[in-house]
This record gives sequence, C-alpha cells and structure tokens, in this order.
Amino acid sequence: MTKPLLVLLAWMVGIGAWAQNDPASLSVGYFAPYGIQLGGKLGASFQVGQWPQENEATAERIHKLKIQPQVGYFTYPQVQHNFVLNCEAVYLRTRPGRRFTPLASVGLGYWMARQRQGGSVNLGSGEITYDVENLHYITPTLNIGFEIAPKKVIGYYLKGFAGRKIGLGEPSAGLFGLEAGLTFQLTKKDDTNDTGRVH
Amino acid sequence: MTREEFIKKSLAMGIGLPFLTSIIAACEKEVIEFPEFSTSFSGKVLVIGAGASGLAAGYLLSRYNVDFEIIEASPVYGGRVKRASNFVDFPIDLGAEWIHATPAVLSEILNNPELDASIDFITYNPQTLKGYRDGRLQPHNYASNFYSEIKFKSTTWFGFFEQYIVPHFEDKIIYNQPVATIDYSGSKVAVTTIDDTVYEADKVIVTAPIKILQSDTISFVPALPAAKTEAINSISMGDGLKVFIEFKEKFYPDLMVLGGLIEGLANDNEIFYDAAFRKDSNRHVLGLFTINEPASKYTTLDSDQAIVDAVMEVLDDIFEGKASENYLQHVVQNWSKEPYIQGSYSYTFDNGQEETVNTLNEAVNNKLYFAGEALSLENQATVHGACESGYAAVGRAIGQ
Repeated sequence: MTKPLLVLLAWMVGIGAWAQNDPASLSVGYFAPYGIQLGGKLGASFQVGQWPQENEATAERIHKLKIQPQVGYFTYPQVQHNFVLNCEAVYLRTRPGRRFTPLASVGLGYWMARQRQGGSVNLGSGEITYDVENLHYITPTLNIGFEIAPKKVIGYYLKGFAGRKIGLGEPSAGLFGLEAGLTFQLTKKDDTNDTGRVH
Repeated sequence: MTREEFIKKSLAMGIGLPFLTSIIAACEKEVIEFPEFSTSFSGKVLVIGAGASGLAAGYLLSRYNVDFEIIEASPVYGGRVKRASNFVDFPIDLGAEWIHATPAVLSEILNNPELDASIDFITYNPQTLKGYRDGRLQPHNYASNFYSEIKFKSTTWFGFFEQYIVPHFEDKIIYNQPVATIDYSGSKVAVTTIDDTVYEADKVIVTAPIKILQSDTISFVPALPAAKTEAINSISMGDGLKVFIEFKEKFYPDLMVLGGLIEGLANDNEIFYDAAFRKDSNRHVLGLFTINEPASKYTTLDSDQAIVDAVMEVLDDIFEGKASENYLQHVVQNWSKEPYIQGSYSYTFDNGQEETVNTLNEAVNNKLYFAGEALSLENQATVHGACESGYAAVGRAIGQ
C-alpha cells in the first residue's frame, strides 16, 4: 500500500511543482457519484493563472485558473470499492473581497473499481467469500458549483459533476454526482491577489 | 409499506432508492427469523401446499419431530419455485429467481451450523441497461450503479430446496391431492381432497397462494371469519409470466425494460434480461419477466407458442429482425395458467399490509393457520419471506 501512496503523492506534488504555488490549498470532500454512492476525496489546488477584467459596471472582476489533482475513494455498498485519481482544470470568476465564487471545471480521471462478481456462501455458517475483479475506467467530467474562499484558513465548496465513465474493456456509462467539502489554505493569503494584479 | 410500495414511492421521487432496498436488505445482519421454541405438542399437523412456505414448514416440523404431512395439489413440490434443468447447460429458474437479500439468507433458512456445504452465487449487477420507448432503444448504463442483487450461479431456488430442505421429509409429501374442503368444526381438522380422501390432523397450516384462497377452490367449514375473508380478498396478486429464449448470438443488453427504464419499472412493464449473465456458460439466453397488467396480454393467449410468437414479434420490432434470425429454442412458464397458482405473487394490500398480514396470521380456533410469501411483513413476495412465514406459522401452531 505504501508504494501506491508514494506514487499518488508524487503525482500531486509534481503537478504542484509545475503550477504556481500561490495560493495553494488542500481540500477534503464528500464524494457521491450517482448521488448515493459514498466516498471521499482529498485534493490540492494550485493557481496557475489569474487575470483581471474591467467590468462595465462598478466592480472589477478577476478570473482565475487552478489545477486540482485529487485522490479519492467511494463505495457502491455490497458491490464495488472504487479508487479514484482525478485532475481538474478549474475556472473561477470572482470580485475583490468576495468569498463566494462560482466555479466551472473540466476533469479527467482514472477509476479502478474492485467489483464483486459473485462468490460462495457457506450454508452452515453463512460466511460469504467474494470473487472480486478489477475494472478500469477513464472519467472525463464537467463540474459546476461554487466555492467560498477561506476567510483565514477554512473554506467550502460544492459542485455537481456530469460526464462519462468510459470502460476499458467494460461497458461505458453516464456519470453524475455531487461533491462537497472543506478547503484549507496552505499559504498566507497574498492581498495583492484580490486586487486583480496579474502575477 | 410494502416492498413494492416503497419501490414505487422511491421511483415517484425520481431517485434511485428502489435499488437500495436490496442494498439495505444486504446490510442487515439477519434477514429472517428462524424460530426457536419449546413444545409439548404431540398431535398431527397437515400442511396444505408444498411451495416454499409449505416446505419450510415441513422442514421445521421435522426438526421438532412432529407428526405431519404435506398435501400438494400438483404432481411436484416447489410451487412458484420451479426449474428447467435441460433447457441449456445451466439450470433456469422458471419461477422465483433472485435472492432478494444477502446470500447469507440461505444459511438462515437452513439454520444448521453443522452443515458443511456451500453454494456459488453471482452478483447480479447488469452493466448494459436499456429502455425501449417511442421506437427507440435508450441506453441507461448509469443505472448499473443503482441496481444489484444476488442470483444462484450453478443451481436454482428449486435446487436449493431439492438438495437441502426436501430430503429431510420427502416421504411426507402427498402429491396430486387438491384440497376441496377444510372442516375445522370438530375437535380435529378434516381435510378432504377432490377425490374424497380425508386427512385428519390437530392443526392445519394453509400455504396455498392468495389467488387460490380468493377463488374459493377450498371451502372452509365453518366459513372463515369475515375479517379473514376480507383480508384475503384485499391482497392483489396479478398475472405472471416468464419466457426464456435461446439465441445464437447476444444482440440484446444485459437488461431492457419496455417503456423506458424508470417509467417501465414503475409501471411493471416487461423486463427482458440476460439469463446467462455471469453464469459459466457460452449460451445466449434472454429471459422475459412480466407481472400484473403488462403480463396479461401474454398470459391470456391460447398457447405457449402464441406467447412466444408475441414475444418474438416484440423483440424483432426492437432489434430489427435479429430475434428471428438468431432464434434457437424457448421455454414458457405461464404462472397465470398454473391451476394451483393462478398468478405471480402478492402485490398490494388494499387495507394496509400490516393490518392485513396480522389479521391473516391470527389462528382460527387454534387449529387453522395461514402462511405464504404474502404473509411476511418484512420480506413479502420473496422466497425467504415465504420460508419465514412458514416457520412463523409452525411456531404459532405448536410453540408454547
């Protein structure tokens, strides 16, 4: 188990190293594919771009682009255990001083499902032995939601996603669900970020 | 709320909760209650019907060394548990097929920790699902993430009873004895069959299907209390049909529902499914399972051939003639035409399930008891529910 964890960490750190590291955040979320499957996601967020837009109205808007590598797990009770690697390119549009920010993102993920195909039940004890098979999927998604930026350290996010679960040797299927969680600011917030100045 | 009502209400809410019923059931530690009691009963018990409930009753009675007989109307045991052994290279359930609970329920039914045997099962989680509506096949593969149940892999429900239940009392089943009258007016109960054979016992457990009880095929002397009759008549049990067709190739999805997936399920529309799904077989067998009104258009046809012709017409329409091109053989089980069944299974309860079931579960004169799939509050319309009800009836009849 240690080796896969190291690979995952290296993957996330690698993306972080490629991206600008200010401001970086971590996210921990409840992850519910199809609305009813239960799981969680751990992610990091690295801003890779920011640019201002003079609005015709009074306020100045800021556009941000972030990269979010994520790892996750969810279960389809009694049927599957799923392990998730995902990366999203997130676009946010906000205004200086505002914490509420609508977001949209595109994601590409890899899911490995440990699927119960059957098994045997001992008729005396009721003990069940399951036959499990690994199934593999690629999951492009579109995500729409919002985030509430951290006031100091902790922020929130909620997003819905829709896309496709493309089976590698397995049937493909539509994909949708919800994700909600907390974000934790890792670095001290740089006030200049909210002024719309481009880094 | 019945299982079906729960499913319908969940569907009406537009969510996938109907499929959570099996998940919830699977999470329960114990699905059915196997009664354990002390008894000083030394009389005789007659069980009417050798379906799942009657066989379970016999199994429990034999465990308590009670003198009993099972009176079965047809030439075989099983009732709505029935098997086609030689249709293809795996046995097919012509009646009850799915295990609507954790597979451990099989162990719970047997309640025999000494038993050293196991049964293979499959996780029935169809991967390709389609609805057929407005002349179009619509993919709904996402639904595989909501629906999963358990099925036998290399045996059937009939095989389960045949191997683990019936051998305990096989010589106590009397076949071809349709019951005409149950007279419980005297100190003993007299059961008279249509050939005027009379069986006497101290207690009688009636496990005949609801349709049979509603049809007055069996006369009770004296007549059953009005509350019982009303309860019996308040349970609906519609038509039921299963058809299996073997094809040269698989041109159909794992699961297909006519009228759209969600809407079709809500309206009990015809369900076509790959009966060979995850079986150890290279044969291609498509099953049709339909109950209630959608089944009636088939079950009322004159012959099995007329039924399969109608089914093939539907399939050819959907799959542009591929059904006829690939047809090999078929088997039809018209449950509505089975003289001692006359339908599928209990469905709705006009006066509320709990009240109805409690009314029917009350003994009549401490001599007459009812059991069957309809009378399991928690597991209605399932085989393990039928067993649970049979066990409970025995407990009420001879327990202290």
